[in-house]
Amino acid sequence: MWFLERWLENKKTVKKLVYVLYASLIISCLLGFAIHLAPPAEPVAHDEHAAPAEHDEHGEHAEHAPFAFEQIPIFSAIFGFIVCALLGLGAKAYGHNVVMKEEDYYDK
Amino acid sequence: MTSEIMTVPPAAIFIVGALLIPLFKGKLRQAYLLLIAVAAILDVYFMQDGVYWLHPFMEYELVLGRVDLLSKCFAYVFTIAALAMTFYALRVTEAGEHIAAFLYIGSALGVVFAGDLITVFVFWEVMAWASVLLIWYRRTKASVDAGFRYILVHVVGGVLLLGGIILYMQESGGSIAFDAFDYASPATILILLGFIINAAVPPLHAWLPDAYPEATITGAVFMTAFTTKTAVYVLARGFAGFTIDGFAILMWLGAIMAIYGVIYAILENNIRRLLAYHIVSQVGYMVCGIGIAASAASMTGTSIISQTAIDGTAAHAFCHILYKGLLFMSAGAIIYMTGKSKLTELGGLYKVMPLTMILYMIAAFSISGVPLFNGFTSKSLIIHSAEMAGNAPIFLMLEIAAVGTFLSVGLKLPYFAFFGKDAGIQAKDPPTNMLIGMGIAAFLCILLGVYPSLLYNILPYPAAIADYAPYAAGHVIGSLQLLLFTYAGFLVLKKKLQPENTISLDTDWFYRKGGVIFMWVVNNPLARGTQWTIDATLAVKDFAVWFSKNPIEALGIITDKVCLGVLSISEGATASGKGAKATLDSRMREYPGEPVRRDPIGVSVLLGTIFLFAYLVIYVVAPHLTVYSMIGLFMVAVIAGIGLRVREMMRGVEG
Repeated sequence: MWFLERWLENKKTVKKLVYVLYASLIISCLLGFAIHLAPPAEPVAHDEHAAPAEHDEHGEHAEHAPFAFEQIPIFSAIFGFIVCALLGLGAKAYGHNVVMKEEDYYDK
Repeated sequence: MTSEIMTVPPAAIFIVGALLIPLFKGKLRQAYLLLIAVAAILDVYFMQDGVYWLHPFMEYELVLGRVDLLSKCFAYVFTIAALAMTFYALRVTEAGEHIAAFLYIGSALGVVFAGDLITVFVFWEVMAWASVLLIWYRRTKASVDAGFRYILVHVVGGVLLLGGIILYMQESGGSIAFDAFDYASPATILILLGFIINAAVPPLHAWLPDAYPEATITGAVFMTAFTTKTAVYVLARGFAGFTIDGFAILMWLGAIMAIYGVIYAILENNIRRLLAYHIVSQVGYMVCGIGIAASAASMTGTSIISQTAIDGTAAHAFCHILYKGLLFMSAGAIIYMTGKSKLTELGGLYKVMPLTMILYMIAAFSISGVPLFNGFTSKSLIIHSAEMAGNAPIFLMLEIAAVGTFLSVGLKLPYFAFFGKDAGIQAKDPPTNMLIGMGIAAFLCILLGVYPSLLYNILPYPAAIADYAPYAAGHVIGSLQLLLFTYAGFLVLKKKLQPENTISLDTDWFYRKGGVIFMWVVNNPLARGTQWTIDATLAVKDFAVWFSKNPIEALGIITDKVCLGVLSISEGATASGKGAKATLDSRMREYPGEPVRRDPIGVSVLLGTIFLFAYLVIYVVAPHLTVYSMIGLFMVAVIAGIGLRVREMMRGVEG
């Protein structure tokens, strides 16, 4: 794994990696919009199933996002970032104020 | 074709196999262990659906083989995981540790195929006792202590379960069948409590992150797979329709559990404890899935949502065993090769343990639900069932847990262990057998991620999810957004999320500190109280023995002691007092001395007179006096007697 080592120890490649991250963040959001604007999936797949009506209904049910907030194209992105921040900071605040103790806490 | 192949209970393969382990040594034993694991996989494969292996027991019938899709799904992953983990554990030389592991696996399989509650209970207990050995074999003080706490919690769980089973037998008129318990009653709630202790549902979960990080390297790997997942199995079997007045308690407990584990994992510094909290979190998804099934069954009665949820639970249990086993194997490899288990002491390991890093990341991507890894295909089934049920709060809670999972397991742990600041640790990748075990698990993680239909076809209700496509474009992109932006959030917060050299108090605080208080009560008030009664009784006995040696002399000594006391209080130290004391001391030394027989007739007359006087007092005087006046008279007599004796002492008259 020496090549990985040389690669990651290099400041330039690390910088490049950060750009790759930025790019993928943006691309994932753009794809979100693309999916949102794209016409709904062609119903060909459904024709194959000569299933009763109830079955069909559920099949369709599965493809549509049932919650209003999921209609936002970049909902997952916003959600992921905010929840990550809140979880990280919230957990640490809870830890520092309530539950985190020295390692020999129970031995005392 | 398969009907011609004789199968035996897979539990028996492991349990009987375990007992023969000491007969083999070295390479032969390694081959034997692997043979047992492979035999079990084949055995499960050839088992036919149905109910068989019935054994009469008292007036009941024990069912050792209730085989259907649900039990087979769990049995497949149990046996496959057992093979991978046995590879990982091949270098363990201690026969006892292998025996404990095989008994543990065997009893877990016993629970999975049990069709009645008595069989469930028996295997349940064997599982607890076999697994505690996997903790104790570490042979450190911390592991011995944690093992005791572990077994105490599981004994409590076992007693609750047994109590519930006995109540249920009364309630149902003697039935011990292990089927769905859809109603709340004292019996079913006790059984549920017994089950959710093993599923590590907060606040009854603390045994898990307490004990697993203290187990042996290989023991912990086995433990991640079986205890919690048999609990998930019995919950899915028994409580998939359980509501309390329409309230699906497991759904909410599961969702809370998923977030609870994630929060504690963010605070953890010990790598195996961090991962243990993610067992709590991931089992939360499964418990939640069972609750969604129960909720859907009670509200709409449509089976498709319930079936999807149960499928999701089974699928997630299947995938979870594989990737969590792999995570613990990688963490175990780090501890085995470096001797360190704290994130604050690790760093830069990718240079020295690259294969471990890659295998770890496969598991980390799986648990985080990265597309093309198995967690993506199983976790999404449970979340999908929450969507189908239209339950936004549960959906969001599970998504929060997904973010937290990637944050801790996918980012924080690898960053601070494999990358980050180089701790300059000299180590290398673990031995081949460990890598093979890890490789099997990693291969399956990817295989089931790329070909989810392999897994979907062996789920309990394959028809319910026939239309479900995990790789729908919207779902993949949503997942990528979630993960990428979590990564961005992590990079922003990296400094804040730095591991710290601390431990986090959890609900085990109540019994660990409570235990200290309990022991204090036992050692001080209780033990001293007991000792005091013993001492007091012995003192009474000693006095009686002493007194009976020469009662008259003894009475005289006691009287003189009291009188001396009175004298010293009233007069202080005087010459006559000292003389009296010296006399008394010599009398006590000589005691019992010669028994008094000087004047037997006179003594008899005196005693007769005393008794007659007592009769007089009791029968003639007493009825005319109140109790208080009698006590008063008695006191006067005593004081007068003491006064006379004290006066004698002052004059120097000897007794």
